[in-house]
Amino acid sequence: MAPRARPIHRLWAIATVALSLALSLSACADSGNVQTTLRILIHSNPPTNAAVTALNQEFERKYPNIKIELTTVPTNDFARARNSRVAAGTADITEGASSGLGTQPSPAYVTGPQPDFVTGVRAGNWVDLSDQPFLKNFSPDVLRQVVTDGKQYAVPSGGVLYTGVFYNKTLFASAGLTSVPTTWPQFQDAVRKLRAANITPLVIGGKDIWPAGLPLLAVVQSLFPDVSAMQAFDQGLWQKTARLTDPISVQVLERVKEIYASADPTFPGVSEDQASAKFASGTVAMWPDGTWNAAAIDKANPNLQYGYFPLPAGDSPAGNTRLAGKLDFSFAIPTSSAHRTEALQWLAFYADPDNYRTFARMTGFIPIQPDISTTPFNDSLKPYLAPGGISPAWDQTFHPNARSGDLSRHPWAFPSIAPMGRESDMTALAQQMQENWVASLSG
Amino acid sequence: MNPFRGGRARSAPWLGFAPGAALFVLIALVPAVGVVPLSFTDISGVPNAPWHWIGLDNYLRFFSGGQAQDNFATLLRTAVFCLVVTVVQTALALGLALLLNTRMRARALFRAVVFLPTVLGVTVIGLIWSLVFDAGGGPGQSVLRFFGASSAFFGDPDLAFPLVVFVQMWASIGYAVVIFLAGLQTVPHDLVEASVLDGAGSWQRFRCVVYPLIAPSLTATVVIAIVGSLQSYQLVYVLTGGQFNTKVLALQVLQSGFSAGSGTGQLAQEQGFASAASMIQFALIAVVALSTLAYLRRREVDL
Repeated sequence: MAPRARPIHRLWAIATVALSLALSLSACADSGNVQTTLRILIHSNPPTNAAVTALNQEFERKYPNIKIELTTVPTNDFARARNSRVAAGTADITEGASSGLGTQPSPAYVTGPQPDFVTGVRAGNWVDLSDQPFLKNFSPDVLRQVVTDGKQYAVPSGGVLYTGVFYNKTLFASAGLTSVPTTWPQFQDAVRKLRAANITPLVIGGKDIWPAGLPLLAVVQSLFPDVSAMQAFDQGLWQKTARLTDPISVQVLERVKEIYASADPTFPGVSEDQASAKFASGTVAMWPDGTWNAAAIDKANPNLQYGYFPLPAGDSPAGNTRLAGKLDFSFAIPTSSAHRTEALQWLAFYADPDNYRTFARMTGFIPIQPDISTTPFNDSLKPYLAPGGISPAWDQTFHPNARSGDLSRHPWAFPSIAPMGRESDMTALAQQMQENWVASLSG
Repeated sequence: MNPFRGGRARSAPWLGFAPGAALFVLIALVPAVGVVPLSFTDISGVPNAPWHWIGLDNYLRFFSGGQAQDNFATLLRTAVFCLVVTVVQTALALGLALLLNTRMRARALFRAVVFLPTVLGVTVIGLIWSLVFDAGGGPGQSVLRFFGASSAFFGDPDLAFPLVVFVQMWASIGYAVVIFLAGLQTVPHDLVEASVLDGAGSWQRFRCVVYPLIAPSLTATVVIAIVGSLQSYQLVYVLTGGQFNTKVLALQVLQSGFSAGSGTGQLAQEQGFASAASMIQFALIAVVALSTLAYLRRREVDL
């Protein structure tokens, strides 16, 4: 019997297997060049996105075997995305907390759950970085502000200040204002003069809600003598020895109401981006917002003559000399990361003073490494900084009450003040806030 | 002849049905039922964090204490949202369907235009109306400024909610119109012609002939509108983020469970509390939708 002819498709199969084997072997032989993909997840913010992208490009140049995959997520969705990816082990570096206070366990007088980052540390979700040599590049005072349970799990990114006001020097001059106001009456007078000169005094990005809270933080900063007074008020509220109907509390509301009345009445429909564009276009004299916006203003209108001063809500100049803010987000490594070594390499690269200088310049952050100068704008803020660095604003001092309603969860209830809300009687609003707060403590 | 009547063939439909059923159970039913026990815990949403059985605490917290006032306001707003969307949208849809069922020029074009918003995504719809009612200088503001007025639109605590209701109706009216059109096309012409010969006017024709025959369409439209509006949060989220007195119950569930930690970084996510709120939402939808369904079905029989 003649041998049976081998079918053509069988030959193809043998050839394919042989080729696959050859390719596999060649890949094994070249295993020294296998790329690791390092996945970074941060909240979306154009200057930060650009700075991290630039940093990643330099990092990939230095470590060609590591490829970076950067994911940015809108701020409101970030916590959800981070928790999912930490659980799935698909994030190698991400934001631990969005502020310094978020890394701090709540004091004993605060009831309710701990901040997510603290809960995560106690659940073993974050890598202890305490012994990492790159930490010595940062100011020890700053690092102490992001210590959780005695250990360093987070590497801060930079500082931001947000109790001040951007002002247009040209418009100020055309309204006859030769210097920035340093007291509340001077501020009121400046608003009057700007209006008389047919210039819109203020713009606020009320549509995004939180930017409308920045003038509130500025008012609190001015009316409370210092940080310890704010801390005492926080503790007093929790322990029912302070009340949201106290005279200083009503005064805070009254001054916020007046600031809102100084702005274009449609500001609750204006987003922060639109407010930034309006200010950069030179049609509005003042914009109470955060220092991180300087980069966007410069980009939109490099010729704009502007500055930044503490919003003077206090009656005496002495209370209006300091800008307050917070440490912005911090980087952390989830314990679920499969690429811890590479993640530590990235953090060390980020912490390198030369790289950090570029990062701080691009983000507009106040540098938190010593002896780093970034932009002329940031340098101009130095006279307003506290001796120890960044003075914490009210939102970094107060411990929010998860069991409270909207009126008192984050005192004071600026979204209720007209035109953001419906309330024009600040004494009545303070009373409602107090009732809400007391109900949350007893409920 | 039934091809699946005997032998092995009898199991064939079940084999085809099984993957879909398994997916439904795995992705929809198990998580939905899982919310029930979670609503009695303090689960946070932070991976690996311990959680505890806290009994009815989440439910008590919803209806008493510091958040009760906000929660009742949210429940009331949700009910108003549902009522207005259901009643106004159904009435408008019926009117449009009657109009589009007549012999008119470019009828197909008008039908397509009415249905068009339903094929757009929520984000696109949100973007469209955010731009139209942009307080910084959108077309809406330009019109108002022509008359010497201005508005913050979605930033106005008195106007934002009516605008959100309007956008919700604009976005979903197309489905209701299609359902009514389908119902209207089942109405026999000879019945209508007979009523004309009997001297019935247009209102009598509608009330005594057309309406009884499209009652099942009305039932379907109303129930879909009720369930859709009670579950809806997406447009509110995109247009106002729940601010300016627009928060509805479904959005509160989302924010308690997933977004609380994002804004300040200090408040923790509370998925146990969010689960309790979602159970309350489920009960609300079940009671309202089932009672409405039962009522409308009875009316269909009476008619």
